[in-house]
Amino acid sequence: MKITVCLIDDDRIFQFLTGKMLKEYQEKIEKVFHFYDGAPALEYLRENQHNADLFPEIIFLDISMPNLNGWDFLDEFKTLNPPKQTLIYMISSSVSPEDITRAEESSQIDKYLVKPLSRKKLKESLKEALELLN
Amino acid sequence: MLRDQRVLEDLKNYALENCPSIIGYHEPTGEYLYLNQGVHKITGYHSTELVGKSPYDFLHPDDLDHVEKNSHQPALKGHRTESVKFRFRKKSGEFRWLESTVIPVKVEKEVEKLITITTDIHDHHLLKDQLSIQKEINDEISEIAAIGYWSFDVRNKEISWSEKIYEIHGIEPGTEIDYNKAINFYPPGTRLELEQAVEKAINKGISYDLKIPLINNIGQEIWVRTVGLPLIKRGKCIKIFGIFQDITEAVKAENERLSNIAAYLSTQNQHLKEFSQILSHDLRGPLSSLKMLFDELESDDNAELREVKPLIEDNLSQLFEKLNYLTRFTDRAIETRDMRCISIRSSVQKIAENNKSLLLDKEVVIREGRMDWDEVVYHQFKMDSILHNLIENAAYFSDPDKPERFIELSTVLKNNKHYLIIEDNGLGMNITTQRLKRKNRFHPDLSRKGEGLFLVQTLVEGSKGQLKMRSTPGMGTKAIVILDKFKNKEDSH
Repeated sequence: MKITVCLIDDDRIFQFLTGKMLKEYQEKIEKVFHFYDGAPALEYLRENQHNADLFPEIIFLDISMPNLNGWDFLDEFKTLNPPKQTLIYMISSSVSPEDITRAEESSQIDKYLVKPLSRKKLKESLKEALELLN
Repeated sequence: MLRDQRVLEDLKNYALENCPSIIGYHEPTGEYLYLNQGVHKITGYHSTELVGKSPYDFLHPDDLDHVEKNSHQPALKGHRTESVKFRFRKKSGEFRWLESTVIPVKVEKEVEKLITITTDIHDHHLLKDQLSIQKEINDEISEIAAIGYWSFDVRNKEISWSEKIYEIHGIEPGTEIDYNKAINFYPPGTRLELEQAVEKAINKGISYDLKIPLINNIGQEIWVRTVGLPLIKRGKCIKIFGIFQDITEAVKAENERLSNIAAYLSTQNQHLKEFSQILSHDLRGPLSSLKMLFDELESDDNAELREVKPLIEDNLSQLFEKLNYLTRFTDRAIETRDMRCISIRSSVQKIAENNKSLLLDKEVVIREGRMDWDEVVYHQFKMDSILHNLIENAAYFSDPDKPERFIELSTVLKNNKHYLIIEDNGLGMNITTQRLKRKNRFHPDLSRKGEGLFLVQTLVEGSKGQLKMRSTPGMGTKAIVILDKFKNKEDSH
């Protein structure tokens, strides 16, 4: 089974590099969708909430974004009916205890990753995600 | 035997003549019959000048009745009278305080003669008068300052309190009080502290000055200041005396002041914490991406990476801008006294120069509106940050569809309050909150993160000022900064 991944982050360098690293997992990842803000990502997910092929299994979500930030995105995500299991990995440069505790306490977030995202950290997270999804 | 009698007689005469007191022998009327030499030393008269005269001729008019009533009359009735005080006119004309004992000489129950022994108490009396006046003054001061005085006799453990101390304790003046009773007015911890201080005063002669709580007789907690000074005699503390003051109101005022300071510092800390998080996050974001990029470059020499070169440059620029900002802020924010006279016009010109490319790109002009004042005494760096953020925001959110785009600077003096106003005809925003929060964003279509306004609010409120935002989508935005705690240059003259 190949999975779909959504990258939601306003940092274009992060998008470029993470996308590049994800390409190394072509045998496991079918598609990677890039969104630079929570709002267009949510719009896409809402449109495809009945389409299991286009709905992602993993979402890498940033906190601080210009329009719809990570927390607001999660509130809106609750209103969707995902066609399959979707893991949400919050990924942020914030080391604020407030953000970390909030992420740990949120039932929607499967993991909180602090940037920078190294190849090793991504590999471990993907492995863990694939195990959970299988 | 006869010789012994003569020696004894001589001795009596010698003692009589050299006695420092005045020994007088009087008729029952008071008329002097004999006076020893002491009279000369005390009054300046020779005895020969007074014999045959009445003492009443020399008494102070105010003391005539007193002497007659309390000394002369009882003596005539056969009673010995003692310690009657009066003023006697000396040969020099001055009055001097004397004290007499009168002994009636009786023959078959009839008073035949009077003997008087009179001593000079003038200095002692004046001292006593002064002490009495001093006591009155002390009592008045004690009442006004709510101060009482006390003493503790180490030898017999007796305690003496002034009325004020009884009042402070909430008990009737004169109520019997002992050491244990007195110490029991204090809560246990304080009691121990006071007992140790008293012990040190007794054993080491060390005085103390304590501000401690006390539970008065009606169960109210009050604060008192008690000062104890040991009186040392022959190397031993025999008494402790001191003052006692009700300082409840002063302690309350001090606590309130500290509580206000704590609340203010807590707010400042919160602002600082939020500000620090903004900077930390804004620095860490670009840094993290750079770290990822460099990691990638190290592991993979891919030509594709060249595409992101402009992005790296932009990221680096953001990083250095924030870093410089942080350095300037942390260096200067602590210089709370770094207040100087600032020209708003010059500051705005400087900021316009620094943001020249942004203003040109957005085709925004800065113009002046009403200018009630220009120069202010304010924290330079704070003012620069406020103006920088407001002007930069106004430029970023200018409306490209409008033929002319402007940022208008105004300064207004109204009801003794000084207003700094930055207004634009940009995109405007839909502001629904009175106070801005860190993550408030108002422009969905642009990439700014809305933290500039929050920072301005933090800086303005940190100086006890106020930021008000008025904005209408499509019309523009007005930022009104009320600078409460600053001086207009004219005011400072």
